[in-house]
Amino acid sequence: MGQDTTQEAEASPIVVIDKVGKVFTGEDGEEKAALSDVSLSIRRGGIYGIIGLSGAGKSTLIRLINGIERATSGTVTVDGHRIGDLDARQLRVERRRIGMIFQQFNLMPSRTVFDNILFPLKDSDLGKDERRERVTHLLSLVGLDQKADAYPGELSGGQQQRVAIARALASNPKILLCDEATSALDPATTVSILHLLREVNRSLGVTVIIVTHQMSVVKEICDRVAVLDSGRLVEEGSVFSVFANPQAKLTRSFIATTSNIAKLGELVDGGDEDGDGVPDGEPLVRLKPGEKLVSIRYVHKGVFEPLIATVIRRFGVDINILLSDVEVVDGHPIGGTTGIWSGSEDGIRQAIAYLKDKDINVEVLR
Amino acid sequence: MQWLIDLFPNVAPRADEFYRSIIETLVLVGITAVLSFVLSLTIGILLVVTRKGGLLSAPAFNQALGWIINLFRSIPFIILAAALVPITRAISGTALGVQGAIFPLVIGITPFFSRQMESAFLSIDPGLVEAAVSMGLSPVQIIWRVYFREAIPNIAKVTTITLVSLIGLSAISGSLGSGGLGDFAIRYGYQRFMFDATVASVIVLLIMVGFIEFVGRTVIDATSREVQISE
Repeated sequence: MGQDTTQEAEASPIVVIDKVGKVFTGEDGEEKAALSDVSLSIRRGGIYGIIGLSGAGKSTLIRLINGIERATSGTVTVDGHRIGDLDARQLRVERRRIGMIFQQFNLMPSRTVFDNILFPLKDSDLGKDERRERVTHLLSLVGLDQKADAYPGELSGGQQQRVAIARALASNPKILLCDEATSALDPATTVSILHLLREVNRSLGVTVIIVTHQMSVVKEICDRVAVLDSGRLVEEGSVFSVFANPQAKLTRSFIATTSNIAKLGELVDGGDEDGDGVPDGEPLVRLKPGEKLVSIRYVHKGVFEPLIATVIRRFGVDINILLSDVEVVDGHPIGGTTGIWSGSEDGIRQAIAYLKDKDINVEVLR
Repeated sequence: MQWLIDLFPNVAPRADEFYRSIIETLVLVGITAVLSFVLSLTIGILLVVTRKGGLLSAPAFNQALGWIINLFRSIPFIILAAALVPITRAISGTALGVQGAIFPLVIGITPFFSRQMESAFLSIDPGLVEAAVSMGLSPVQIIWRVYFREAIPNIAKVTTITLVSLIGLSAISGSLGSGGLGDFAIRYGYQRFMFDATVASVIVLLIMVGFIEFVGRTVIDATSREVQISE
């Protein structure tokens, strides 16, 4: 819970990655850069997303944070400790405060759910009863009280990931690293796991860092996102601003995977009625005289007014909505609607001016 | 019991010697198995963790160790045992009998057993090791709590296979005067054409193998939580 931490802690980022490069040397001695000059800082108590295609270096990046991979250049600082400067013993101590979950869950198959969660507590200072109490508490936190004596092989993927989350939380970490944690799960299970991660973030104040190739994951729970392309950071910012105003081409293509606005292009560019090679648009978007095809997009926070209704009432413009793609990102509506506007030329012009005044992006498509 | 005497006319008068041979085989196989198990567990885990990119990556050591194992594996046991006689004498005091057979048997079976152990540990999902690393466990803790513990069904499987091979080797060492059932079958069944001595030895060896496989299967079934390992 961000509000609970002190202002000072709030201000200092928990992870700082500074000009980090990572080069792997292959069997043949050929060098391959997995990461080049990546710098980013991760706020304490947030949910941070790192997105990229496979091979973009995002799994390497997340492993720099717990020292499973060592940076070839640059520094990685976690909660004030430079990971590269720690010796093996210090690194192990640091790792106990950084939980990690994986795409394939990686539970110990020969141990029960209970013993899997107990596993990281083996060397802790807690007494035997305290440990059992802690495991029981974690089991109920992830909603698996009934499965304590089950073996991982008897559980569904979603349940296994819940056990993995409980195990990762056993040693009271301050950071939870999630490496493609939902990539092996179906969409409904993905959402339930993401909600659990958000609950963990809010109730325990654990900073969650998520590596994924699914923009829907970032949209669902992250508050900031970094976009990696071939080992380079191409975009970084709040999820809202990145969604509202994507800069990099890769970011735009990621966003397109989560919206249906791409369909509009198909509608406008399709259909060639008179056969002159120039698309006339599908029948749905073909305009009568006096009609305009207009797209409006919300790109700033704070759009709560019933804008469309206002336009219709005040300016006498009829709007036939063809596509609407409004969703809530980080608590604010984002996206827009595209429709055929009909009405007096004056009315349409005034309506557009009114919306622009409200910081709405208006585009007359034809 | 008359029918037994009828069936095994040459074994019956040597019943005492036959029983002693059984005990010798059991002692020989038992002691060799325990010594070789400890050695092979150690060598097997070293072969896995010292691989390039492994938990304790040491590629040069790994290559050297693999090379030594392959060298010993490529020597037929009977030649190896003969070549080891001077060392055996130095270590065991004699090259004969059970006492003299243990050392060459350990040297003969350990390379095979180590490779079997290696494959048992290789079957451990690297993701489990990575998870343990991410929890801050030390390499030694990971070897005990992940590799050894999670590989128990596979260790049971390869130990069963190896024990059966070991019984075969112990019979071969019988021809070098080690005592045991192999010795008994060769001296009476083969060299003196007492076919019933061979048959009796084979029956007892079959029972031993059957028992080992039964125990192995029981351990595998009791410890395996994953899809049943096929033989």
